[in-house]
Amino acid sequence: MNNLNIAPTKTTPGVVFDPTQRILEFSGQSYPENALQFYQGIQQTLESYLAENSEPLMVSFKLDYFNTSSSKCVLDLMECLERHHKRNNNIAITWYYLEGDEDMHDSGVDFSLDIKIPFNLVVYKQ
Amino acid sequence: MHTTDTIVLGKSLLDYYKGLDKSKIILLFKGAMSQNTLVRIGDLIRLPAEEEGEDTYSKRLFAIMVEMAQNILFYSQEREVSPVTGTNVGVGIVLVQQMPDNYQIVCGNIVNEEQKERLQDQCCKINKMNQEELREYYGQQRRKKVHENSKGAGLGLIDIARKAKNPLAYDFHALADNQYFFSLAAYINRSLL
Repeated sequence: MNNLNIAPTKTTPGVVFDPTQRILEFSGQSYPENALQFYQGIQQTLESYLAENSEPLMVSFKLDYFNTSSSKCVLDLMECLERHHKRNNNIAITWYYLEGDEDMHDSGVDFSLDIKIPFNLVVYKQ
Repeated sequence: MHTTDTIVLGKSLLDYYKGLDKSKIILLFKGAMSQNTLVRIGDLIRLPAEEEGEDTYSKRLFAIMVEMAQNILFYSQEREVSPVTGTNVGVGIVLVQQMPDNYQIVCGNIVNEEQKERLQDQCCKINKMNQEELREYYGQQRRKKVHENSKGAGLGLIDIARKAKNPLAYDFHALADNQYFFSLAAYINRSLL
């Protein structure tokens, strides 16, 4: 199966990918020493799933902080989603940001401008 | 056995104390910057300010420190093998100054000529941009494919300038042939928070 259930650490986000529930979720902080290494595996799992499945997928990001190399990896991942979305029109992204966190709000806006996938910005309270 | 000139006691410690006090330095690290070390420094920066209810601001300081420290870790020309993890890490310095109107976060490490040229171009380019232009530049750089021998995404300096919301201050001090001490300072105005 393609399921992923990666527990969060201090420097890497928790990741849940559950194809039966059609969800992919990222939460926590992201500033590992090697962001590429962390995100590559996730992207590969996702690629192989999306190549064979066209069911809808709800992707959510609820990140508190990410560094620049993680930011690049998240964009790569979104671009991968975008390629599949173009074909099947089946993906939506929700970007959660903590109330008052201007930087995380702005990051969400930046991603939404770069990616042509339905993109929701949602504020949450602590 | 320590020789007397390596023991920092009495007057020599007092000199450090006074020097740090004069420069309003509240935190300073000099040494091998492993990932674990940067995580620990991050905790020192982030938690106390959170307790004072300055979260956005302490988070920005934290974010700037992470980018600076990872630059030292990956790109410093002075390297050390960590006795704990066995990995090769960069050596450098990071410090935080608490001024009446702003916080300054400063980092320094040794770079070679090629790195100096690249950093100089990048800092110069960044300092000519306003926040909107920096946003666009960041987006444009992020869409580029990552350079083969780079662990980072080449976005660190842009992010530092965006988070600080002030121009970068920087300097290259020649040490030897093909060797410079690169220092970089970012300022965060306390009044803007």
